[in-house]
Amino acid sequence: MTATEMPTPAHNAAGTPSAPGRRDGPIDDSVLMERTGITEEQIAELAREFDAIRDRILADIGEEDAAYIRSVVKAQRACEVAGRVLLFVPTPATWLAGVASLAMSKILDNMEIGHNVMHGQYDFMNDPHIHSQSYEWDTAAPSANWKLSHNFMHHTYANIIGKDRDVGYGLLRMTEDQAWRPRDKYNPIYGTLLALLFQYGVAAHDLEIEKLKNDENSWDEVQDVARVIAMKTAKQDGKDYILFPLLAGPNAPAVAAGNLVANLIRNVWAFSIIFCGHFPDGTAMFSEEEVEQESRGGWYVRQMIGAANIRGSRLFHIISGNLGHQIEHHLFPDLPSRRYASLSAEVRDICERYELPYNVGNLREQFGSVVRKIWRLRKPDGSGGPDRVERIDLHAKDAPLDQDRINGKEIPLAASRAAERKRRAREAAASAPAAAAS
Amino acid sequence: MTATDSPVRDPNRFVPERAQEAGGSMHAGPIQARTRQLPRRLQRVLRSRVVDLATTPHGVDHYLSMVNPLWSLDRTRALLVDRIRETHDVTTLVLDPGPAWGPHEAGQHVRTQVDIDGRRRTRYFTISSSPRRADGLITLTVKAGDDAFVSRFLQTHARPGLVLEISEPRGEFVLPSPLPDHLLFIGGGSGITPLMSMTRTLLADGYRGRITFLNYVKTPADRIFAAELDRIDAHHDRVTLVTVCSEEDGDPDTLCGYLEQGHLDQVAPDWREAPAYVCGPPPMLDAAEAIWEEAGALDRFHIERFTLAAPSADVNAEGCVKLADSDIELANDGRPLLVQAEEAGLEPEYGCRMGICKTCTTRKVKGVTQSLTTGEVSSDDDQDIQICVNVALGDVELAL
Repeated sequence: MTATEMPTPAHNAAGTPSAPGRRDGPIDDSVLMERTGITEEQIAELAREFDAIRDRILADIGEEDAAYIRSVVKAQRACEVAGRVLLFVPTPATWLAGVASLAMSKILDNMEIGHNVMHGQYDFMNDPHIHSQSYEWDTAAPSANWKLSHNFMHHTYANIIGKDRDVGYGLLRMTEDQAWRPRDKYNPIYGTLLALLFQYGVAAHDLEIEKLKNDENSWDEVQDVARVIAMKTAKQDGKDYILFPLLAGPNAPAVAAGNLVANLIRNVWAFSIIFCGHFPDGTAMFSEEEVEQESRGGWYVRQMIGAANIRGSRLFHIISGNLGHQIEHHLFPDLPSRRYASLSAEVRDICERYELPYNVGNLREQFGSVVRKIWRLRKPDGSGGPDRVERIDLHAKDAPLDQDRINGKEIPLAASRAAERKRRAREAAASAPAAAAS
Repeated sequence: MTATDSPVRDPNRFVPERAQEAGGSMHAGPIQARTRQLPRRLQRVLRSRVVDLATTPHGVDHYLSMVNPLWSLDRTRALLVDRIRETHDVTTLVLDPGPAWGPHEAGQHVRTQVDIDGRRRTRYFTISSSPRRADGLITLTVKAGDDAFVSRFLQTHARPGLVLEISEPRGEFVLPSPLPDHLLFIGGGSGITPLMSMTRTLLADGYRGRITFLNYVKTPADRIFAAELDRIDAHHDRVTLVTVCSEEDGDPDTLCGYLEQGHLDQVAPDWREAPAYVCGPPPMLDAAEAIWEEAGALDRFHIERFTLAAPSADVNAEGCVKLADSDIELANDGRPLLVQAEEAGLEPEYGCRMGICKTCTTRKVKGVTQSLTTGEVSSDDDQDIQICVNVALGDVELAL
């Protein structure tokens, strides 16, 4: 059964239009259709296909998924304990090993465990230690705030400028559709700082300071959230920079430095993976109006063309929280992450059959593309980059998608047919008044 | 008496096995060889603020449980040490709840949680042992019903070494104080368990009054605790034990059929005067309630309903939605529970309203719900459900 049949109200508590498939009024996917060349019937069929995949996996979830996440938790705890112990030993070799181990612990905790557990992927286990309602992660952002901004705002409204607050984290200009402000000339500097301080960026992100301006949030609300963040951050930093160094006695500076480096490694890694998920070239951005009347199938399409995958080894996918399978994650954000790899062939097949792009590249390609974009968009017109695009437009013939990104098929993709239709319509419209005049 | 009547000792008892081999247990590892509990002084250190900060944000219990689940500082965990086969479908589990376990009162039950197929399942079981038991162990007597997932798992897969999570003992179905000089116990099927705990306790305490014990079973082979009950009957003059089989055995001298007033009149003509403790299947409890109501003796009537009638999945919009924390009861109208809660004036947290973001996840205390997106039916107590896409099938209680 699709969500469109569910009796739910049209607006959420904040009065914003609600998520896909549950709106009152007519469904309208015309913008998606125009941008991808997909038809209304195809969108409905595609929704059925994705729903069927989802149902099949849901029915299969159980022992193996539980055993998997338990083993990851075990590995994380082992890395953590080993890292802390190694850092206490005052030799350069153990320091390096300790940093590596602690960084791995924090990465596993944040990515494969924290992010996915807090999505509710493992709620089926009913284990309070591995549950979206109780898990707290080893990072500055308190889980409760993050769950709201990530699970709800980011995933429901993925890549909708003005709604998905993950587009640039309120700090970076990540698309030409974001109007240029003078401060954007520092885009590369902000990007570097955000990468290094990512855990604090994520925490501050949940303050939703920008909502103060248009009175969506009151100062009191911001202060309440800030208090929670300050408490969590104090405990995190107290642990890493006061308690463990104190316990190390004369080795305190080395321990504090080791913890700092481990945190930095985690920050840069998380930033890289997350920014590669939505901002490489070829991912689509949307405006609120464009998707206001989106159907459930339309929601699937938007999630798919707004995400980008990273190719990598099994270990790479574990330490990136399986977010290298960002497309699969966005289609099925609440299915256990270990399932995404096995779903990717199926999703790719669907993309091919419906002639939709499937954006995948290796980490170097995807991250390079993100870095170039951050650099390029420091200027109002985004000029200066080798692969500059006015707007990620899937039907543009010169869209900077390499062949791999379009299922290994030659451009043109279906989108260009839509572009062709659009051009013809424009021409017809232009010639109509002329005909009337004559 | 045939061979199946007597309790058969499980051949697997005391064989240490990897809990994992039990087919989906809570924690792997040969637990029996491990320390049962950490020393008090170490526990105090582990509960200190320094350790709390060092283990933030996960907390020390996460790490301890990983080494040995029995070391948990926050949760009561019990080690399965033995299994006793009572009848063909009833097994008694002998558990070591650890030194921190406060004695229960005879008749109380515990919430029992066990991981089956990767999911933690919850069931309530009456403690069948007496709190006077000297070895500190408790027993749960479990019947494998057709739909009783947990019971069947515990019966067929649970091996010594398995660790279960249990709650504090709960329940009001306990003996009166002071004790009267006559007690009437009526048990049906596995409903005998709290009454057995009471009887064991009374005898251990040297109770000087009379006990009239009516035990309703299907056939003689279905008698739980048969040998012990026979022993009690033989050694204690003040205990009148009557077994009533629902299937007639042709002997005109024995009682048979289901609970009726005639049985009471015959076994204990003064039954109206004695406090009565009744536990059994719902039809039996209904019959008993009618008898005591007619006799005007409801003030001496105590029952324990230990099974919920499971509503069938195709019946929508029945029953009552209870929002426990807000003290609201609604007539279920079949729509998602979130919508119903909102219309009752509550503002539960929610996000996508389509079963994706899990912002609305709420604890279902009891009752059966079904997901509109997956069709999955949740019938266990104490499960978290997404109220935006779940509807109630019959009575449901939410922690809202």
